[in-house]
Amino acid sequence: MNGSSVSEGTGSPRQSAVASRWLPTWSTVWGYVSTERVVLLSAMLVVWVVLMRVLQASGSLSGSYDLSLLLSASYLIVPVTLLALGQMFVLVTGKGNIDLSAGGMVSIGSMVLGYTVGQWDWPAAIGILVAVAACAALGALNGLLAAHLGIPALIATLATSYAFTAVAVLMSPDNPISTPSVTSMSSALAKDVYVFGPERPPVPSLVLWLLIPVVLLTWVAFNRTPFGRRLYGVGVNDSAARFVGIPPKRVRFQAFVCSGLLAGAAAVAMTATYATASPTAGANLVFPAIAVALLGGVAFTGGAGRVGAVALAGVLVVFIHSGLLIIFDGIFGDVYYLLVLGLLLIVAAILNDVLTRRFSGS
Amino acid sequence: MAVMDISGRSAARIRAAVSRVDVQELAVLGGIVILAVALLLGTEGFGTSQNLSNVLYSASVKAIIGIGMTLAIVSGNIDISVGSATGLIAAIMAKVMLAHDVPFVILVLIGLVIGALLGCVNGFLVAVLRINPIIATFATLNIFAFGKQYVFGNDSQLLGVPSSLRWLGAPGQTLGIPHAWWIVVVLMVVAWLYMECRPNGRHLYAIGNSSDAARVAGVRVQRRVFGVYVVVGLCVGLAACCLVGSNSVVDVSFGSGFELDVIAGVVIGGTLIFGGRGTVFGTVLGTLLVALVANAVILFGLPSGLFPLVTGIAIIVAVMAGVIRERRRAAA
Repeated sequence: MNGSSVSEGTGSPRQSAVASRWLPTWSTVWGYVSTERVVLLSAMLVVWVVLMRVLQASGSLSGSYDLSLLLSASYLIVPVTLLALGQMFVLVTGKGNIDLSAGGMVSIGSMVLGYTVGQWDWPAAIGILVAVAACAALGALNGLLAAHLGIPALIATLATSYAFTAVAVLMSPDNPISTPSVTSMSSALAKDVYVFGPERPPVPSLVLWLLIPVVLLTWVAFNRTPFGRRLYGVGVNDSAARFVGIPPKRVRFQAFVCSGLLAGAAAVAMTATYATASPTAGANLVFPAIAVALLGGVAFTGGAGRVGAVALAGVLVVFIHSGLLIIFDGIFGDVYYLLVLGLLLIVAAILNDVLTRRFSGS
Repeated sequence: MAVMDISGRSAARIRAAVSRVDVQELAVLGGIVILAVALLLGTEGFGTSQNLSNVLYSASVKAIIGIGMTLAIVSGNIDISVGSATGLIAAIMAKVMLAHDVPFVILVLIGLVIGALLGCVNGFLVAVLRINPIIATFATLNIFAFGKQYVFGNDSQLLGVPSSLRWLGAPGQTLGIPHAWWIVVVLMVVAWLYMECRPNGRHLYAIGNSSDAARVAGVRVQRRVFGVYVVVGLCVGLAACCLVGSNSVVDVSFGSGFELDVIAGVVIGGTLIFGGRGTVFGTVLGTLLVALVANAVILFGLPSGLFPLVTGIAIIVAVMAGVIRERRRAAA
């Protein structure tokens, strides 16, 4: 599954031995870039940043696309990447599994934080634990419906997505909760950290204490634990997994619970970032999350996907978003973001599909 | 399609289809009757002709889309982009109507053509590029939402839209029944005859049961699937015409969340979510039940946020019923 196997036999026999040894052929390069998703995403990131710098030099941007903009926009990476990793847990187990309800879970998690910390003045740590536990319970509900009762995950989570959003809105009939205790929790959790020295632009603390540890934990879970191998195993071949004693239903159920846990973490991030517990906190988060997961090489057919590539895809998507916001005026930055995400999702789906077909042995 | 061949074998098929009337369809019919009686006795506003025609009208907009969605789900596909496609078509039509004085027929044609084009996009992604229907229509959901936002620009509403499409909207009625509902009845009969009697219609069930088996048996699967998405697009175009016709304001929220109500109507009406089983008759009944529930939420004075919760639970119960029946069928 590496670049050289892709290019095997495609080189022309007339090519000189020296050239073919020292200069990679186009098919070698393409094989490497298409199979190593981290390389492809890094290349896209470089192309995008260069494009933005060129646009900035030609004076067609409304702001400056530099390090301080990217670092200040990086708080947006946190919820998107957390949810994308949640989608990865679910998507990797295959069988058409997907979690459309992640946004609804974030909304409910945010409202739980709003009630526990904001209204009842519980300590922030306990409120966060309760919110994450609530989201995990909602994920367990999804897992029950999709994995154990056999309802297609698309339909089950589409239904629960609207149900969760409805519950979040019903929990807060009037307005978002933004009491002083929520604000003080927010200022404790989300602040600027001057990692590179006091003169350099700051990094949002959520990236440091929430995103990076969670990404590392997820990487360990996928690559260094039996649980992670089971997730891949169930996704690659359901029956084979059953024959070696892995219960597919239970593994899929656990994947949905993990998606719920990560949605809970995203709810904490959203509430801390905006200093508000809002019933619409997760409204527009599911689509970017799924796009990021597929862009990161997670195949919808299951069994494939790497944590590092998903995290890098999260960075890429947020950097594209913050670029679009200064290319287009007013709401049009967000509007074009939808288009770009949609196109990226289609391209990623086609690429994942082509690679799966090529390497599935058929 | 202009002339239906209803003789000999086709007539026998119709008789067989009628004798196969589904338990779930009867249950939904029972649910509609019980809910209607409860509403009639429990509330004051339900029985008025104004309210009844409103319920029928809001059901018919979703039933028109639901008829197309039934074809998609029966053939083992799905289209979750219908909501934002509706909004996009409504936005474009409103812009056209504000700029020019276009006659009724041309307007409907515009709606249908744009709908068919959007359907072609979905069909191309699913049937030609072979992207999974869920991922493909989830992507187009957002691309169409981009189109809608782009048309609206910085406005969130288009005001003073002319009433050229009034005939199709809520006010357009004959015998106290909205024209949109008459269209639903005609579409339902046409789609039902197509799915029961025409080879191409039967192929949809075959594809839904096993697309590989259908392909081996000589069905041009990708062509049928492409066609299904175009039909869904046409239905969406017609539904958008009905929406624009009922109001002089076209809102940016038009059509958002429609996919939930439409899919709810389809699965409540007994269509198996895995494909291969289901009728448009059931879909129309299911959509009517969903519309009645929405009406009940309003009439009983419950918070309107409750409706998506109820619809979500109803979808899960209906799909569960389908899954259980299918297991029983497989065991028997």
